Amino acid sequence: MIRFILADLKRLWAASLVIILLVALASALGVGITLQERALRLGSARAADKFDLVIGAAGSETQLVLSSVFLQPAPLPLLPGDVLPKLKQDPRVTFAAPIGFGDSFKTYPVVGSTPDLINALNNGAAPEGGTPAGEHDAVIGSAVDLTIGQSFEPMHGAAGDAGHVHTEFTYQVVGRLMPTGTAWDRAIIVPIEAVWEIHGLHAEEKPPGVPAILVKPKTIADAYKLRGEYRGDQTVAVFPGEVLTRLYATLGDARQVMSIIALAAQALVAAAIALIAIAHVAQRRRQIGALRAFGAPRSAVFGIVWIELLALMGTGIGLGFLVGWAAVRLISDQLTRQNGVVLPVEFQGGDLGLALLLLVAAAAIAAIPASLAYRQPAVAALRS
Amino acid sequence: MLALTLDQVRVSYPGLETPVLDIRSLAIAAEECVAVTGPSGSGKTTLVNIITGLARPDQGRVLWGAEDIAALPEARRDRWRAETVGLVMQDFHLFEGLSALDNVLLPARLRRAAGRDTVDHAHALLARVGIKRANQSTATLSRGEMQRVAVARALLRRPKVLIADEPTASLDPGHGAEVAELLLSLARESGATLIAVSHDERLIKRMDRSLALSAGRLANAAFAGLAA
Repeated sequence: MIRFILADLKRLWAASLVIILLVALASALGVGITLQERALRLGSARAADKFDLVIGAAGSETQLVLSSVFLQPAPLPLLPGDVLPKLKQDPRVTFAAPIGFGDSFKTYPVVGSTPDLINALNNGAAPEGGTPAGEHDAVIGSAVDLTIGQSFEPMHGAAGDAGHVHTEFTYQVVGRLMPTGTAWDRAIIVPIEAVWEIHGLHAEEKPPGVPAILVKPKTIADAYKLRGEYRGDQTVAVFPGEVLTRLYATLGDARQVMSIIALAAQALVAAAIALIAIAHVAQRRRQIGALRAFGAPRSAVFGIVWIELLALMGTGIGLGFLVGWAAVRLISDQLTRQNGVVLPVEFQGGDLGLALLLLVAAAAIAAIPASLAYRQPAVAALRS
Repeated sequence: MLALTLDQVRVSYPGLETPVLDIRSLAIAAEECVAVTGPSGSGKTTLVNIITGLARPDQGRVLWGAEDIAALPEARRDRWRAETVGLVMQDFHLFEGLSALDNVLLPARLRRAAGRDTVDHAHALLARVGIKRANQSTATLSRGEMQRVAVARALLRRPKVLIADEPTASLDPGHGAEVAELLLSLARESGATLIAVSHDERLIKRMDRSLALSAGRLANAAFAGLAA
């Protein structure tokens, strides 16, 4: 029977290929949506791991997190200049590091901060090459295309915008951070004092404002207290995880909508294949009749049609999982190149359930033309 | 080895006034070779369907030996046919993509009846019908060769009954004669009862006798019961 099936599939290789590709595309769509949403969710959650509490000026909490944790450029309002010194002296705070953006070099954001942030990003170890000593010393993330010792001039504005180059100020790379899998891999960290100076804000008169402050509280209780204290008219304080959870809800909703669309596509493909298969069985009436006439039992006829179609659809499903995974890998790698966040593209246990469900659906669809073949009377072969 | 007896057999189709087949009595002896002739629409195909168990008559008995196959349910009739009847049809019905050997073995394999002995027998049959390369693809066979493979397939399970439905109609005269000769000699060698529906005079005149069907009935009904 297997030999007959293989010979059949080979004979009808073009139609077989079409069925496999249709099923593969429909499966890849569904799998891709699931994998991409999961990658975005896991990647962004991991990227926010190092950021316990972020404080910014009154405004959008979401924008604050996107800018400080993910380095998405946006014009954030500045915190009053006294917030940073106050936090540094707070006994509940391990460190408070300012995050000042506004400049870039090529496609990399130049971020002003302090050694506390560099320490936190590098898991307490010194950067490869050395720690920054002077105002012109820069530490780069692992994905920045500069070498230690190299000098550069920052440009005002976000990476990619055409902005005015600060030719009067030059940085030199003194160290490189370990890979973090976050947007900070693409960041160039310079002393916050340098950023203030470049933009004409001087610390002696009164402390300049910063768009965001990363706070490492001593305990969880301290974290909640600080957050409560700095949520008010002038400032916002967020756990990045909270903001991300809200974003994930939206992402999850988007995924649901897309999943419904994918399901609709799969249903269309299923209908098309059932139609092809039914027409095919109708076309083979004489051949099926001949098989029966030669003594093949009805179950063998059912089996041949069912196995042929199931084999094609099963192959398509497997191929679809592969194609979906590969496509999401490509997209995610591209996203990582653009903004540094590593997006883990991985299958989980539940995906096996999806595969099984698709196979069961395929088996059910294959049973339709198979039962038509089963019910066909044997006399069909001899009608002249 | 098996004799055929038809008793009050009738087949009607809804919407048609007269029965498509109406045979009060027919007896064919074991090992006899009988031709069935008649114009198109005379009921020849219906007769073949009835006696091979592909269809059931509306009434009457179809006895092969002592067994009334008309009384059997479809699955039993299918199995009886697989074990008892060798079928050769006008259109060969070989399966593309399979070799000559695989085609011969296919019905047996679908019944899980293709053991070592059966495979050896398949090789022997192919040699006997003049197919030199058993693994030759059907795509490269001539029409005459294809029908000879079909004959080998029909004989694989040593059937007691050979039924041929216009076995030479799709062949040129030369190949037709070869296939006719093969059918007859193999039937006689194996002792199978051979019933052939045919217009081929050369085949008909070599059979023991011929039955003429007309409008579903046997012409010369007097001769129908002669050979006993």
